[in-house]
Amino acid sequence: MSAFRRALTREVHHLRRDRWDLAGITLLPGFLIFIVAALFWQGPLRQVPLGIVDGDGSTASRAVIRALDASPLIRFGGYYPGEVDAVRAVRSGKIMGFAHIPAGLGESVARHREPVVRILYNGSFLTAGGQVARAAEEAVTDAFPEIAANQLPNHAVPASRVRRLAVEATPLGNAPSSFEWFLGLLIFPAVLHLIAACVCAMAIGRELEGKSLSEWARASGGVAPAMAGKMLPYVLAISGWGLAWLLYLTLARGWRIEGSIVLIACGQTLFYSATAAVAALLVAVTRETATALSASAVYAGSALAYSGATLPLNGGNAFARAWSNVLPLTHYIALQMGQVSGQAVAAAVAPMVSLMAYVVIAGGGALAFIMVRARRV
Amino acid sequence: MTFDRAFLSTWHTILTSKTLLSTMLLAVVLYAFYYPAPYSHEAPRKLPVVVVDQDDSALSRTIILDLDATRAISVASVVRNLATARADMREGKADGVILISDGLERQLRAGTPGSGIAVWVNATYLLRASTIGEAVTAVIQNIARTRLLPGGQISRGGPPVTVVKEPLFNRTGGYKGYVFPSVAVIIIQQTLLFGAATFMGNRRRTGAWQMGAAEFAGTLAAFSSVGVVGCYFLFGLIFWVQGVPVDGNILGMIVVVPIFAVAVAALGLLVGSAFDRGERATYILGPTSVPFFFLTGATYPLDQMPRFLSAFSHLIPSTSGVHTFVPLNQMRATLGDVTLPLLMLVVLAIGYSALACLRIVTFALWSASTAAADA
Repeated sequence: MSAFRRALTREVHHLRRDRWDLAGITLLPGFLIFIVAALFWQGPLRQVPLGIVDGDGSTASRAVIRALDASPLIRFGGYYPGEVDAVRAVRSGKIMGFAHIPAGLGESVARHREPVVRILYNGSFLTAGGQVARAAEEAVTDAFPEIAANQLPNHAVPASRVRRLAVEATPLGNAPSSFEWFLGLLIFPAVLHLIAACVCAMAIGRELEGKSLSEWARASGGVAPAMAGKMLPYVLAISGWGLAWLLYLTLARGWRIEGSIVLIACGQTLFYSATAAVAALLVAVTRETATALSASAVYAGSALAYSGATLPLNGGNAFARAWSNVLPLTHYIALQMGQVSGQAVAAAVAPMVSLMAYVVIAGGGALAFIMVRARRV
Repeated sequence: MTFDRAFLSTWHTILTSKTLLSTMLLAVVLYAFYYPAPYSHEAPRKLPVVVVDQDDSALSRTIILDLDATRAISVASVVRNLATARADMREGKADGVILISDGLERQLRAGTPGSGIAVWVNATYLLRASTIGEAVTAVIQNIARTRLLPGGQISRGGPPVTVVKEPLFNRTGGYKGYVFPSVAVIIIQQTLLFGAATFMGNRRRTGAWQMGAAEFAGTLAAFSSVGVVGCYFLFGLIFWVQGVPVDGNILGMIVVVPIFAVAVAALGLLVGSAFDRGERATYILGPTSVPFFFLTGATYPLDQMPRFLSAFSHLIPSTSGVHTFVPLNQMRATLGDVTLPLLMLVVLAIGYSALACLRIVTFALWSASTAAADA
């Protein structure tokens, strides 16, 4: 039997026996896929509570409040007598923000006094707060022609000159601004990345004897094929979960991948192979499973923040930009999101090559480390 | 073993074990600088867009200059036809395409319809899309307001109303000030969970993992104190060093931190007592960090999740932790403002301590007594 086959069968046998190691590639990803799926079931934000400080109390302010309540993003979160009370409600989490309608709103509109409507939102929960504030601004702006018409019943409402410049914005790929298709696409690969890093580090770490892989290397009958055979079940299992996630999003949830799903599937197998190679390198260098696992938790656990997918790193500091390019997740996300939004196949070449580089450099480094050590003893 | 002995010996184990020291103490120091780094520029900057200028007028050139002058947008190139721009986007060179259609200047001056501005953005990256959209709107409104109104009508031709949006607490609306305060809670929780579970897992492997009541209390107190030190370090020193907006109820924070730390430490000991060895802690708990962060509701609010999931999320201390500490640290909340999450933390601290105690302590007493009975 070849070294590859022998290592593979040994690993599969081990997985049958050890329920914890088996759980790492079955129950754990299954549980987390369920959580992430459930998290974004609802998709876009809906009905977020927004309070009202109504300093006006007239038909005009009621028109504004109706317009706010009609926005799908906003739920009427109650009246507050003043900004102080409203801020207190924001602190305790009852409302995400509030709109302050100034006194004499209707009359000011009619007489061109440019009244100021203030929308204050919770900046500590910026994503939700910012979206609600944007929706509130739109609703208020849209309500004003109606208010002006009510205030000046016998006049034609002068067309707003600002409106002469029509701007039409088309969000491509995610028209309803759904978090499922934005964060869902990002979170689960990041989770699987860390799972892959941990299970692979654990698998190689198991072969450490007296802080050395030399014994295993000598018995393996060929370090490179044995390593590949050892990692294969893990890379396949994790890739399978990744594929399940993509199929769930597209088939069950109806999202659409504009580019090639085959390319994404190949890319993620390559990505998890790269993760396995890095895990092997970490174990070979640290010669301690616990340390390799901790290092994996640090580099893979926060890789999403460095990927530039949530907050783009253009304009970030030099360390963040450089380190972002060192982390494999950045390249995989570039490949995946590119294909999802219909980029040309040519745009996927660079990330593919980067991912391959991890397999070659990290994997090669790990093998070199192990072989040099094994020969020295 | 007495309470004091157990407390000191646990601390001794933590400080002398390379694994525990690095996961629980050094990792917190590392994360304090490592995690905020990709958020240090606070806002999306200079996202590349391609402009299709069909109008080719003084107005369209001003629009392009103004777009490029915003913080959000960098005009990667100006092309004449849409196909080229779309191709640039397909090759991944741009996040969006802005079309300034023919006859725009004439439309503005004469009021004739038929022209306009179109924006296509890649919304699979929601934040980039909304940033580009907002920047374009702001530039266009500003140009309409300042440049194109006939002088005599300016005073009456402005918009009928001004809408001002202001972020509260995190006054600049920066990303570091938004993400890091919540992530800090996750950092403390996960490092403490890893540490406590590794400790228990290691004891499981040696076999002698069960303890007397006093020893258990001392061990729990030691791990809780590690969490307390970590929280004070992040909330007190690092928020200040990192320039995170702080408007703190310091006294309130100091009082609540130990409750949170006990809840997490007890959960860590409880979970760790199920593992076959120490390494399982990071192996099983490590991958939960990212989902647990999103389960706190810091980005996607809890009331948007399915009921059963938001109920489940409250079993994780970080969920109530974020909704207690972010208001206390960033919003100058009183303890009265955070009553509900605070009560939840108290319940978790008592509940997990009791469960851990049942699992680790009383069973030991019971088996000791049965052993005595057998003898």
